[in-house]
Amino acid sequence: MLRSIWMRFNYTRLLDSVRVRIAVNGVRGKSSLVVLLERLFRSRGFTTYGKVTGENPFSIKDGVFYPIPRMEGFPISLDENICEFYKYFPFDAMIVENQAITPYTIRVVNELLVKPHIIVVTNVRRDHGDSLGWDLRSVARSLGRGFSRASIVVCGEQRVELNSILERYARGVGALFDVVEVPEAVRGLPGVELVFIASRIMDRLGLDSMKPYEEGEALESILKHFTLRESSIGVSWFPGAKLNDIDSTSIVLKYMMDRYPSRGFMLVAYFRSDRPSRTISFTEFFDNIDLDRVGRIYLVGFGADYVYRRVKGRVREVSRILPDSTKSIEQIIQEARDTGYVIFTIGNQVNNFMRTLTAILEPGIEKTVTTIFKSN
Amino acid sequence: MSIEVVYALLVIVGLILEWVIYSVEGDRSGGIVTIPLIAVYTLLYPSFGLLLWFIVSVCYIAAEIMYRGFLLYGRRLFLAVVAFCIVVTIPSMFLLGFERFFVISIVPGIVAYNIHYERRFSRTFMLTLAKYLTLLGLGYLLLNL
Repeated sequence: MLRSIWMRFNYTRLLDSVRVRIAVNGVRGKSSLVVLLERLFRSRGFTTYGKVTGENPFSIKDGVFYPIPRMEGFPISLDENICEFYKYFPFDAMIVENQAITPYTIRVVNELLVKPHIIVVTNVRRDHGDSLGWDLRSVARSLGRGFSRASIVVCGEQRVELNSILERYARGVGALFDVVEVPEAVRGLPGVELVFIASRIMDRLGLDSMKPYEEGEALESILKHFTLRESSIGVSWFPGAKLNDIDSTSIVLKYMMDRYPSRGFMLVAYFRSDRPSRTISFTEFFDNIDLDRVGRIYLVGFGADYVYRRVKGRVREVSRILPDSTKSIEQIIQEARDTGYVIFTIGNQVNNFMRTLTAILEPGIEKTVTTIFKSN
Repeated sequence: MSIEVVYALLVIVGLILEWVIYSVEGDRSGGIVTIPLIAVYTLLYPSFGLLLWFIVSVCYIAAEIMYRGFLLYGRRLFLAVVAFCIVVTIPSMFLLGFERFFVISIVPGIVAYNIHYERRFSRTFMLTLAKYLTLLGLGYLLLNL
């Protein structure tokens, strides 16, 4: 008890002694950016500490990944940041993913647990609608309300109307607002902005700029994710369900359609009962897809009938509801074989249905790390 | 108009004001039930109302110390501030002869936490004060109808 009080009391003093502190905020790509930045700082002579949360939480100390144990059924506490900090202190550079999902707790992580010199906003996407807001402007506002005092806010979001909201909040905490430019050809692809954010941070801190080969490698490791996977059972597929939000899913689906102009697509959507906001948002997604290239849509899981009732026209014609069973998976794979459609999964990845489908299409994929950039 | 009716009306007006403030500013301001309650007590016993605001200020300072110094946040901070508020309020009420009003001894703590919860202290404090003064003025008019 006394030790815990002392740890809390002493934390800020130790935190202040870390030379560079970066809090990675935003919706998508936070973990990948932490890993990339940790590697860049390390290659520039810093002793480093990074912390990543999400499906596979881990701390990184000087390039070594240490999993963070989680107790099943126990809520995840922000105090985890304090414990991990003490495990690996001291270091020169600290890059922490802001794991919070409400404006207040986002602020707690920034203001109390990281006290960043640089706040990063990777992007603004629709997710956690019940706490961050249902539309993009609300999400931007929620992220902005979580800003703490900092020198710079580096932003990877490209939409001007959202950046004007973020800039207002950045100015409110006395920070310079710096938007990175992403080339038109790859704009919007999940993860691409991370390379340009990392490059800008190196420049802003007066460190060696990212070398062309460093940028090239990082970009390549992102773009290689947006290729079709050929399974051993003769089906092409893409794990779009890992993207979670509808904006990213739309952009990637369009990119894949442009990249493979001769292929037809089959969308397989799984909806979870504990993610109603995401299910609702997917009704909008179906209104905006390129129908000519989508030959079949399968809706599975809690709320599939809700989505089916709300889609219109040809989307309704090609949509089918399937029960959450292994037989449905067999049916999907058989149809993909017969028609040559690419299976493009959407919705939610973390559930038995998607896990089974993924395991059949590509055995072993569940073991891969969810971040784009691996440690060197 | 009876004080019960005035309180009910102030709660409704306070709710509308809170909704307007949240829509325009995106911030909360002190509380939906608590501010009308302080306004009503101020109408009945002006010096007691002032005491409550003084305790709100003390609780806010305590909340910031617990937040920044001991990294308390969220539910734990809320409970700590309310507990601190009770410890401060009850002796103050005894000393100043307001011991009948124990029932609202946690209200200043809730208001202080709500002000802490918002990012911009001065703006939130001004909004809270503006809401309080509006309700106070309205309550005064209603009581004297």
